[in-house]
Amino acid sequence: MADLEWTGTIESASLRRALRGALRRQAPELRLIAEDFLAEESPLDLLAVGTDGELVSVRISLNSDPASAALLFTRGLADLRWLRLRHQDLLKLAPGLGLEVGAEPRSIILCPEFGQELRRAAENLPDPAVRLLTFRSLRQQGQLMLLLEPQKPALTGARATEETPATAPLDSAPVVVQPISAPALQSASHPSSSTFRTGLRSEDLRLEPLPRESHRKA
Amino acid sequence: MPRDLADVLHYFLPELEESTPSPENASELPAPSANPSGPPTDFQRRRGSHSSALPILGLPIGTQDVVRAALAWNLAIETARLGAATVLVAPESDRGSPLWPEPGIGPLGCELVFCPAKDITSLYEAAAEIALRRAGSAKRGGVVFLRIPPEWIGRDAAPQSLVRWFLFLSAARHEDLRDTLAFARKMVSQHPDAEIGLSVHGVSSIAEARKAYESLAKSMRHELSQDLVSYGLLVDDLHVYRAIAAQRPIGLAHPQSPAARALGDVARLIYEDARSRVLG
Repeated sequence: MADLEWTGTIESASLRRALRGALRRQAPELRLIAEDFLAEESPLDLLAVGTDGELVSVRISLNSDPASAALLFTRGLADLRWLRLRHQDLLKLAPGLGLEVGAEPRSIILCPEFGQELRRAAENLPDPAVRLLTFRSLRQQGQLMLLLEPQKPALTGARATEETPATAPLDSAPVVVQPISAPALQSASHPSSSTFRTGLRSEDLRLEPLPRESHRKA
Repeated sequence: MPRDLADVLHYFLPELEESTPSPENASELPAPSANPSGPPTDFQRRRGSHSSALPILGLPIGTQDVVRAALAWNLAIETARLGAATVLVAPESDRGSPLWPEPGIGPLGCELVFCPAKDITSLYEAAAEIALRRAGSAKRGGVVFLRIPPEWIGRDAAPQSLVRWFLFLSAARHEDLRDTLAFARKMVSQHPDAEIGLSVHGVSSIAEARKAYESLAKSMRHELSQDLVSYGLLVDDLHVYRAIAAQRPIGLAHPQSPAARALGDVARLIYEDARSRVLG
């Protein structure tokens, strides 16, 4: 279990690694395809492909001061255009990425905290173009772990309420973050972050009778 | 500084090439990647030369572990069946051992390459070079499967950035899982940024594999703060042992067998994850 808030400096590589782990747990449908990927002027922390074949930029900042959050928000908006312009090219050049024609790009922006003005600004964007996620940096067995927190109503299309706790723990409320799907909700509610995967069914493992050598003619 | 597609085009150039590796050049180690259009951009410099290489999947397999070697070889073939370019790289000391068939291009274009590596650094470097070279002809992506002698892990410092994706093959028995956890400790110690996966083999039901996976995942999470990625299950039925003896791919010899179905499923998971690494 995570035990302490992380104190001290965090290197960007460690932060991205922790972010990958957090998204793997809570948004397994996002297929991460690149890290530290240069966009218009600054690198995306992560670039992913979503379930609808859309490009998704993921940016994270450890600073929650208004200027840093606003800069990140601006970059997230700029990513939408940058990715939209490249979508067709990537479709042709990298057909294996799983991109879909016409899928609109999205941005996910993570900050320890967002101010009210910025959250209000995000409400004006068409859903789900930009998602704001808050997170906490925790120490778990000496390793950095990110805990993504529930989305605030202001970000899910509903009006924000002051009663909404700004830093509610992840397991205290249903996670309603938008690119996170039903399986992610399930995994987020379990203590184990890893999920067994198989496409097999029980009947696939049913042994068939082997051809009997003695019945073959020489 | 504004960028345009030209700055990232080098990522996708392999996708435009139609050529496939020929047996003549199959064992050649590649030259460093070049930018034919001129000096590298800032973007290319920052990304480094390994960004367009095929992903490398490290498989710790003992020198006499014929069963796991056979599973690895068959996984490489099944991944090739899905359209991936696959290369299985093993140390030169494996040549002539019962672990592998003859080197070269085998079923479905899956290639077996021995490299003259004597330690973990040279093994990783050789695999990285092959991964870089093969990316040029891998129209639909691919995977380099790398046989890692387990005793090499922890013996010397290993380059961190070359191989970060590993697959453990473990039976479901308690003692096997315990051994796998012990090896995971060494692996995480040497590769703090490793992404480690597990295929449970030798099981007769999905529930048995799930239980084994969850047990090990929980231990790794608790003790090592390390996520364990599931790569399904593999079946050790009679077809596997027959295929090992005959050095024939299970998926071709017995395509309807449970072992072949399971191999195909694990190969799919590997290929999907490999594709998610296409940009580095």
